Amino acid sequence: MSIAGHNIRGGRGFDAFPAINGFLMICFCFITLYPFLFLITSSFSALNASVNGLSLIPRSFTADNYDRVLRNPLIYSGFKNTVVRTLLGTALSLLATLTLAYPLSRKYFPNRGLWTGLIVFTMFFSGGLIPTYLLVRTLGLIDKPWALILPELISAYNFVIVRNYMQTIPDALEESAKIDGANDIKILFRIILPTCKPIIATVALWVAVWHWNAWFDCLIYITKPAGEVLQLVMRRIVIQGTDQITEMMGGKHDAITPEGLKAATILVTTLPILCVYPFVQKYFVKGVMMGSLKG
Amino acid sequence: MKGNAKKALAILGIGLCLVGAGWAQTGTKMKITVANYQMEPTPPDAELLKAYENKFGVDFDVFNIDHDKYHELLNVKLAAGEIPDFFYIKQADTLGTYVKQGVLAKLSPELIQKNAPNLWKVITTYAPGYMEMGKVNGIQYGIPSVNPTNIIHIPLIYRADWMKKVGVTKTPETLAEFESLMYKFAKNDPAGTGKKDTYGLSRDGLTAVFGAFGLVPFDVETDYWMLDGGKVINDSVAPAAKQALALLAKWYKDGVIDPEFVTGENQGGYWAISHAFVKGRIGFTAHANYYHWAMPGVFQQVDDSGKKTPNQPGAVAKELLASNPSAQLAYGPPLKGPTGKQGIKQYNRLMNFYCVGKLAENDPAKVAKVLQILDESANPDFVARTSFKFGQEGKYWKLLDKDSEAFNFIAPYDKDESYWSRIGGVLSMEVPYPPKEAGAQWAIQKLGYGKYGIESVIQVGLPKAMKYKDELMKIRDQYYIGIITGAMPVSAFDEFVQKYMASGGAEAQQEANDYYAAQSKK
Repeated sequence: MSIAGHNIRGGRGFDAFPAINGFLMICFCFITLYPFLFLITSSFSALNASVNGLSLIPRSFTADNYDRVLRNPLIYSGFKNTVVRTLLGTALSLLATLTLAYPLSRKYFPNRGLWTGLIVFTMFFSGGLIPTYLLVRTLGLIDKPWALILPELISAYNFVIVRNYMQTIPDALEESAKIDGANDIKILFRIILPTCKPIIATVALWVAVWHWNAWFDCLIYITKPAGEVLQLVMRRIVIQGTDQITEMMGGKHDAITPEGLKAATILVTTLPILCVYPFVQKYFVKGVMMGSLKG
Repeated sequence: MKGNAKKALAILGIGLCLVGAGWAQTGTKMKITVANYQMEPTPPDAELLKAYENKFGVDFDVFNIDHDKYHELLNVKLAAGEIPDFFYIKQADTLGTYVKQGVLAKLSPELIQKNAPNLWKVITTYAPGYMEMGKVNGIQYGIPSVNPTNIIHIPLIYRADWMKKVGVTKTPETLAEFESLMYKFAKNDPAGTGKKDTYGLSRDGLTAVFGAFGLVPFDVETDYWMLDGGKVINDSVAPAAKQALALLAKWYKDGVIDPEFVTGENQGGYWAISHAFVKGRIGFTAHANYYHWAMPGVFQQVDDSGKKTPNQPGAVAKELLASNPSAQLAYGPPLKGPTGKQGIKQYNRLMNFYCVGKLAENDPAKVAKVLQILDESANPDFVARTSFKFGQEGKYWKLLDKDSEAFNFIAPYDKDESYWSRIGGVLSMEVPYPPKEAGAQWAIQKLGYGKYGIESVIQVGLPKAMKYKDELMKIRDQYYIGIITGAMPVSAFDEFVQKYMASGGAEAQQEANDYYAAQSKK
């Protein structure tokens, strides 16, 4: 180990390790960051960059692409649907997961092993696309926003992590609350949840990101364009022009969506979640380590 | 009391009858569920949709299936029992599969002729034999959607400025002339950069070489069948393919074929752009379609004011000129090969099928109605049938010239690719009226691209061929690319044919021959 400039043997010679290491890390970061920078450049340029070459400064600057993206009404309805779905879905998911995990984390709960086992069992199998679709349809959820929230309300994986975390909470805490006369619900909300803040933040983040990115469920359950989520709208714009059959059907259009427009769409839809991520990132890292199964 | 109660009951009874009658009136409108090709979902109150509901006297319920995952999503709906009445089959070779699943209603030529006379007439006149392709086991299930411009084969595009630089004045007509030009493109520095950074051709150029032997064996997602001495065989195992591969292997070794041909000429984004060609890496390509490569001014078209003006460049020609304004293009004829054949790939004209869903079978009025709706696409009046898809003339698009059927989209719809799906133009199908528009006429008359196109003799997807298709095409790609790059010797072709036949190719071939014999008898 060396501390900036002084190597461990006590000498005063300049240690190159931190400098080289730092330089390599910066290169690595740049390589990771470059495609994103390229996207920003592309969104401000009028020419097709795939043909005209990559560059950091746009060859012909234009704000036209953003103008067109922001004028598309589906972007706004998509944004609204996605935000509603994310907030509502995350809140309900958290509530359901926490109230499921708490009883199953108490050692005195009867048949706790059986219930936990059944839930974990569902992690290994899935009915597939068609049975799930039939289920959602039979429940009458087609074309309703609940179809995007209810089917994936509780993820078995998240449940396991929350339960494990709750198991580490000492019984003494709960017992002392019982002595003071609190019932189970009061114990859950007043005592347990405040100590679970890190895991709540973690699971909330995971669920929120999942909701933000989800598009396939919207594709199969929602048939009216006003109910579409942002990712679906974006996907449609971005894949335009890649399907050869499209051209044979669509006829006469020469105006294929330029790459700049696709880049602008991607940026507009990614920016919000990008802004939220840095603030919750520390919980993310802590939570992953906390939820690991021990013994 | 009793009297009043009786009166109340009577009034209630009459009231209910009136309500019931009123409700029954609104309830008798026929409901038709629609699954068609859409670039965007259609809201239920879309303008055109409402107009057609009035015109045909029905209520439409559009499924809004995304075109990108069309069959996957359609299958989910079918499994749930939601069978559309207006049933579009995007991948034509799956017709047999859907018939087997029992989700399609039986039609008959008489029924189609009676309810969709224009459609019947246009298909039997301009695409003879195609209506029979909609038959499975002798019963008509689907009406083919025939692409009118696919009678024009894929283009042969040369860099004319490079040709001038290496001293060649005429576009090649024979394979020998072509070979000489390709070598010059690779060896004689046609771009004038002083470095060896050019090649003659890449992946799509190979299609032209195979075409010179009368084959379309490679780089196609559907099977191309041909007649070899009276027998139907798949182009991939044709004996002449071995000759073509030997030639290509030699060219690859001599550095005439771009080593990156394996990944293809297009690097993502708009499928029609050949990045290798546009960036000046190769001098010949057969990528995309003729209209992508039209240089400005090669033909006259009618502009917004009704005058004849030189045409705007095609989408890819525009990209080429944007990155290299001095580039020039030459359009060559299909090559004549050493075996006396001449030709190049032509896309199958059979595109999709339009059928009626099984749920409608018991209601002859509904079946007739769906056929009548399809007939509207074949309306002999150009303005009527174009409005059917693209909306009202004068609002969304403007007719420029009736004779050449030229039209333009009115701003902002000219930049909006998918507006017609959004406003409800989702009831139309492609019909094979001969293309009159200036670009197509240029390709047919001036370039002669309406001749020598190689089509498959069987365009429907037969069950065994479909079953083995993925595996057989994987084997084909493996051997073809192996032989061309030199990883395998040319003699490996015989081994390939054996392996191909043993992996289901022989069964598919037998089935194809039986089908062809049965069709020829009709």
